[in-house]
Amino acid sequence: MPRIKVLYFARAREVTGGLADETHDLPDDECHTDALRLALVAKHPGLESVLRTAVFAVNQEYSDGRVSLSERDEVAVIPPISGG
Amino acid sequence: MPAPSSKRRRTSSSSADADAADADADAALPPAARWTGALSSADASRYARHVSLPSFGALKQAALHRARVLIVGLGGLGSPASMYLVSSGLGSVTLADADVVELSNIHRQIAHRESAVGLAKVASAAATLRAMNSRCDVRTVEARLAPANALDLVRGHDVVLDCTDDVKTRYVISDACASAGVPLVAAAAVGTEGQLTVYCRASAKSVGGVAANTSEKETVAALPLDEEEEEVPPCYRCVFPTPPATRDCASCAGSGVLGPVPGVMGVLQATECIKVLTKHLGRGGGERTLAGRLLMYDAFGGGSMFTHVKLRKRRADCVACGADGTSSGGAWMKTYDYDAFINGNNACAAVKKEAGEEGDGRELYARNLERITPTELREMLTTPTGRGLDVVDVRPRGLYDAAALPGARHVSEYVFPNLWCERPDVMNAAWDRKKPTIVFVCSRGIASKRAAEKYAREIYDEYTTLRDERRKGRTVYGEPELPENMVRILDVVGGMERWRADVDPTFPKLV
Repeated sequence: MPRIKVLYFARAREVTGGLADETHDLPDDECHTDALRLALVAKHPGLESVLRTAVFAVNQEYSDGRVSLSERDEVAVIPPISGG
Repeated sequence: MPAPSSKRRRTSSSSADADAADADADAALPPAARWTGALSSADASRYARHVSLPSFGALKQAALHRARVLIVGLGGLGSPASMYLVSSGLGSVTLADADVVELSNIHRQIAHRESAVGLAKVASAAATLRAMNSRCDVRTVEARLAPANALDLVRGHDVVLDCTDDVKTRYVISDACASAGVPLVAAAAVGTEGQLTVYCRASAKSVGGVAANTSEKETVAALPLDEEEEEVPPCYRCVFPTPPATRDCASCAGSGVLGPVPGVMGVLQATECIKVLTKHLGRGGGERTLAGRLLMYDAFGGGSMFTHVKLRKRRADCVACGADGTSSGGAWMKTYDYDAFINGNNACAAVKKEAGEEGDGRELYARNLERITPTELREMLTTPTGRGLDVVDVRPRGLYDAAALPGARHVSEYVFPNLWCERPDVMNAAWDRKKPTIVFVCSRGIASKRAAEKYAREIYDEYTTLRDERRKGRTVYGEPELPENMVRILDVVGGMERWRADVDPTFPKLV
């Protein structure tokens, strides 16, 4: 069960009830960003719409589509901020 | 301590005398003996600390004097960004904003004074900037950037600063910059967090605008025009192809913002702008800007207040900065349906919600839900019935602490477990069949409606669970009472804003 660290920013942090980060264990055979997205929405339903927009950065790099993850990878959920 | 100040005065007056003497001597000197340089005498002295900075110097300072920057939004970001750019010696700045200064702006929008409340933000900021630096050409456009005017406004500028607080405008600005080939330094701030990056890049044509005024031939040759030499940064649309749903758009008005946070971001934005403007004068491609990287700031982030992530490359098929978008010169923007695009994510969320609500007994759970006006609430508060009245305030905690109805308690809109446990009087009234009342209240009547529905649904779910247990014979308790007979659930139309308008004008305006 690889353990993934997830960081929440801006609106993502709001809908998770103020969580800055948490860890998620993913099954060995389903250890990728798609599975993580599903797990995050299951735990925090408010993330559903946020994830459609947010940058999903794996180890500080933008990710697109399904990217495999491994133990100690760090995923950041970064929704755009629009205030000014 | 009068001595230092008088000394300073003497020094400054003697240096002014010296300047005048220099000018006289200068005029008298034959051309072969006159000094030459990139800056005038006055500018070289005024910007001496830039001139002496090894990584900056007179050539970059001269480039700043020629540069033209468009700043969209003169709020929390635009104030410090414009003030630092103009004080740094920027040649020309265009300020675009359609808003007027409000009292609640000036805790962070430092270009505006108390006396400017009610004035156009562009007029107020222009006055501040002209007073700071009379040599800067300050122009104002009192209008919102829209698809119809964005391209014309963006063209003719070397860099654009996005300092707006509106999602749609952010896409419009980025699209215009991608189409016109103008680098975009985009910052954002809300709460205690900020973001900053540089989108798009200068096209050969727009860079020429700066270069045309440059006397140094090698400067023009050093411009990074070859796409292979330098990665083309993405545009806003490349990075965020799906706009946020309205409910996910935190604004400073709705979510609050710590005053210095947009200040930090605006100052960083001005710094990036200077780097972009003078990059072609640096050795080896110049200082590395934030193009291709997103900087994130969290004032309350503990050990890691600043972090950044590498962004994706430009999307080849991007409607704005892909080949099709740029080759048309942005003509597509005038027919593009921005409202449909912005609402796309909302529609998606709404359909889902409706589907989820089908067949879950909406009428049943909603039977004890009512909406009341602030005037009706006033009646309830001043006419005790002895049945228990529980006013639940779901506004952000800070607003509740600033001003709340008497007896109201604060509960987060997102988490309100076991409401009744904290109010035995209300719980007892319910058991005594007195049908107590729970009133949800928020700022404008939107969150309170959501919270009332959520609560009604929760207690209805609780009821159906108990009922089903009973029917299956798994409990010794009797038939549970229908929620509609146990409690009234109300929420206040228009929230505390309307309370202020209809009932109590002394209630502070907080949103």
